[in-house]
Amino acid sequence: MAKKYAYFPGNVARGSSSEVEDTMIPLCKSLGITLHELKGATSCGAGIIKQANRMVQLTLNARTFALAEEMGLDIITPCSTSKGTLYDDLITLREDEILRGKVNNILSSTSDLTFEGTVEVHHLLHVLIDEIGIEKIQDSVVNELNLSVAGYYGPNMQKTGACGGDDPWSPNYFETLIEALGGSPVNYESRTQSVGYPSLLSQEKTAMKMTAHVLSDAKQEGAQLMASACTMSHSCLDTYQPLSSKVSGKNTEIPVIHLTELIAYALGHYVDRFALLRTRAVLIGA
Amino acid sequence: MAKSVSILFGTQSGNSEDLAHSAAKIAADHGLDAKVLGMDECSMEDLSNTERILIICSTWGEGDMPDNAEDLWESASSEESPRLDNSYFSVLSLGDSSYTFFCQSGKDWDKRFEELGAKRVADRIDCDVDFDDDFKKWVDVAIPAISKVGSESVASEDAPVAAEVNVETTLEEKPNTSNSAELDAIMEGERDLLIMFGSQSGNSEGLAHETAAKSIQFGLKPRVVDMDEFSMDDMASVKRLLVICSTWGEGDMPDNAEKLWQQSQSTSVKIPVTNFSVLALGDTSYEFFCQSGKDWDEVLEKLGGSRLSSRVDCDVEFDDAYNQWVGNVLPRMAAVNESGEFQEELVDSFIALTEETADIDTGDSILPNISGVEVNAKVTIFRFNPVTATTGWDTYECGMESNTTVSTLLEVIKSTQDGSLCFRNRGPLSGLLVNGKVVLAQDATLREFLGNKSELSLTIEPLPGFEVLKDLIVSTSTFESKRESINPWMIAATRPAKKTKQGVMIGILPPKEAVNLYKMYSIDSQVLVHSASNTVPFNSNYIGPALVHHIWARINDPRTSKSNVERMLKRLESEGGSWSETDISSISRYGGDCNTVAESIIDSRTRLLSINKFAGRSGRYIKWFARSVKWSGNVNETTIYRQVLGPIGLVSNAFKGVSARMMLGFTRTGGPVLRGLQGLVTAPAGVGKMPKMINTRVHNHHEVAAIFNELDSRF
Repeated sequence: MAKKYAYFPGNVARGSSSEVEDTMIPLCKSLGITLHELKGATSCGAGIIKQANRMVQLTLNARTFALAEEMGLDIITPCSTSKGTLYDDLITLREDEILRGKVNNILSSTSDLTFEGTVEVHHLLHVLIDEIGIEKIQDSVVNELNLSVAGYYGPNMQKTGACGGDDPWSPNYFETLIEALGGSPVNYESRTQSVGYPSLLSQEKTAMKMTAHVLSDAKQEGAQLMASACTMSHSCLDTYQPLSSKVSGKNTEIPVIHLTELIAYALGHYVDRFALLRTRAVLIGA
Repeated sequence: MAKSVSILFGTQSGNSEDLAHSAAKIAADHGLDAKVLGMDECSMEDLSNTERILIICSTWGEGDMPDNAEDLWESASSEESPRLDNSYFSVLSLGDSSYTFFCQSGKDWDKRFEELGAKRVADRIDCDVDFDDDFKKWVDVAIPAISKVGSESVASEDAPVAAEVNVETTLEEKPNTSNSAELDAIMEGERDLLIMFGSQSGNSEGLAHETAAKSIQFGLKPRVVDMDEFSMDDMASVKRLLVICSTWGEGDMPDNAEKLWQQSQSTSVKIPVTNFSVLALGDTSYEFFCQSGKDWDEVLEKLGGSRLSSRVDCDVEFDDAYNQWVGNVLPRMAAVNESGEFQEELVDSFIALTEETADIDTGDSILPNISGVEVNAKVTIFRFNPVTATTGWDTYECGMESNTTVSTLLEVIKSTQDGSLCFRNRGPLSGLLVNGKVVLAQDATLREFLGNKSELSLTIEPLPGFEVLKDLIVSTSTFESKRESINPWMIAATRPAKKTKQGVMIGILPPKEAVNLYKMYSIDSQVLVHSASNTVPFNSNYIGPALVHHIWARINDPRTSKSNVERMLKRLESEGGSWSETDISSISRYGGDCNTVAESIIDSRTRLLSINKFAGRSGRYIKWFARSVKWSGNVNETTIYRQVLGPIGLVSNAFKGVSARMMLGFTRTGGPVLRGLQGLVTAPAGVGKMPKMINTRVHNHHEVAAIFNELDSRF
């Protein structure tokens, strides 16, 4: 039976990283996950809006939760920053009755929505391992990866309660998935560390050093390819890759794709993109 | 399922509440599910269904209950009060010895609970205004004791609640435990152990409490009693008695033992069922060395008691003699049955029962939880030899209890496999990076890293962000220099004060503010929080999250002068301050103290944005992120890049290769290179990985705009 979720694409899947959306939809179809558009949902604020005004971010996310509750569906997102941010705000609203009342007052004066607290938020990675199951994924593989792949989790969802049944500090869901897709998982220490994305534009030099640390760590452990479960951090890992090498003096050259792309390619979607990627990975990877 | 304990506080000023929360943390370390409740948040009916209750209560006025305890006390002291036959309890009483009715409320609770049938697991301790030491003494005994009694969950009317049954169950979970019927039978009976101390300097009292803690692993229920508070009339029913007494002056009893001693000289009470042993403290440089202890030893025998273990006389360095005495006497006391008969044949069984613990115990009270499981650990440790300036990794294998701390694990490796290993095993500087997580060595257990796995693999490294001195030991001098640079001390403003009854002027702080301040300043290890940040190792100018938090706490301290608040706000805004943290989520994911610190960083930024009106790159980033969401419901990265970097920044990106990489859509292998014509005319937008110039508005966007308008007109 198909699993149904309210789809929250994250902050950049319909912006700079349209390849996330390109691959999220077909991979979910292949694995029997039905995505329902969460019509009207806004950006989660990514912990950025919160710094200016906590209530604004909480109310925006309460509105998103209420929309999903109206649909009677839990939320799924391919972005770990969105997962971490939505999870934090959901817990805050559930635990603080007074705050929940205030937020609902604002919601009722601006829309017809009420947040109840019944919704759950899931990251794609946790849905795949906990709900779909590794056997079904293995059975659906069309093109085995046959590459050494480093999975990047980022710090946002790696905390107790927010990462399904995985261990926040020594996770293995990504590695299990890579193995199921026919790749060789690479264990490297910095896979849950931050690459400094939230301060990329204001603390560029520090963010570049952090990015280089993660990339070179994965390379040193033999990765030919990196896949990111965080669509926002991907920008540091990919677009800013040459700059991170220049700032740190480290070898950071490695193809970096999104988690959704990795899965979609193995499931037989976009074979042309996968072919190009394989060539690049073999040429410039570890 | 974890055992639960309810920690009730009766408070007027907030002290009892703070201590209740501290006790809850310690209880959690003992595997208890602790629930802190104000006395106005529960009823006697609730308590009659609660197995484990710890009470922390202050006294007000002339021996009165604090306001929040009044109703519960009225209910408890009425004749209709429900019985507490299924409950275990202990009381910590707060007071001020300059008042006549010192700690009266706590005494009242202690007495009334006993009258209602509750069983006391540890003696009440009465604290004066400096309560820290007494609180520690109390939790050291009361929490281990209460964790050993009762069933796994809150008792219902039908649930079996006999302490003895559960002590037995707990002991059965230990490896290498004898299952003999005799042992089972003796454990099912009454297990009280009375430990009396006569003390002048506090040494005897300290040893009495230490003995009480050790006795729990033998399934005994210790009760520590000041000799002043005991009467010879109560001695006759005591089956197990330990006396720890010092000698004073020319062979005299200490002050607190004098009254009981006089009673013992004229009493007609006989103690035929009492099994006793005496530890005498003294100083061989005096003529009447350990005379008081010798006197007690003699009189107890004269009254009909049975000496279970020979008296030990200790000189001023008493550790070795004490360890010998306590190691000998506790298994023997444990082998006394509820009728007071000593079953010598069971002594070895009791010793065997604790042998597993003794193998791991390093002699300083680290007793692994006996409900843990044995795991095989493969431990890889970072090594650095400063003499040869070489680094490397060593791997060790050992079988350990899952509840063993990392500190104990390292001690065992050092003592059994590699004596050259260097690490800090205690205190706030004992931080380590274990499997990518920063922890305090003495707090983290192996279970935390085991998860669902059967084999444990640990990688232990020094704390990140610090200079390594040797192996796992780091230098904190850089951190301390940074701390010094922020002038962390209090520069106070003149503020209202009040005269106490003792005539001392003290500043006034409302209880709520005081509690909030206490919470902000109560960070267990600043060094650990410093290392939790992923930014710290990559930015040497950054003062780190712990110091940002400290400054923020000072700014929020109502005692701080206005000029100092302004100075500290400037420090937070400047290079290396609040904005230097690149990713707050790397700190908050740890929870606890780290989450408190992460919230402080966010709060400090909110304040700085308000003061500086979103100036600087960080301010502009937040402003335009929020504004683009208000405009369309989604983030518009093009707007953000343009507004934050400005034209010079964008040109600079072109030279750094960032723009070229964006336009090529580097990893969108085979994907569309061009996205929309607008990018061709108004770069940077719409090409390659360049995001769209203008977002489409989300459905019902007017609701989003209305939320912003309602809450924050700045966007």
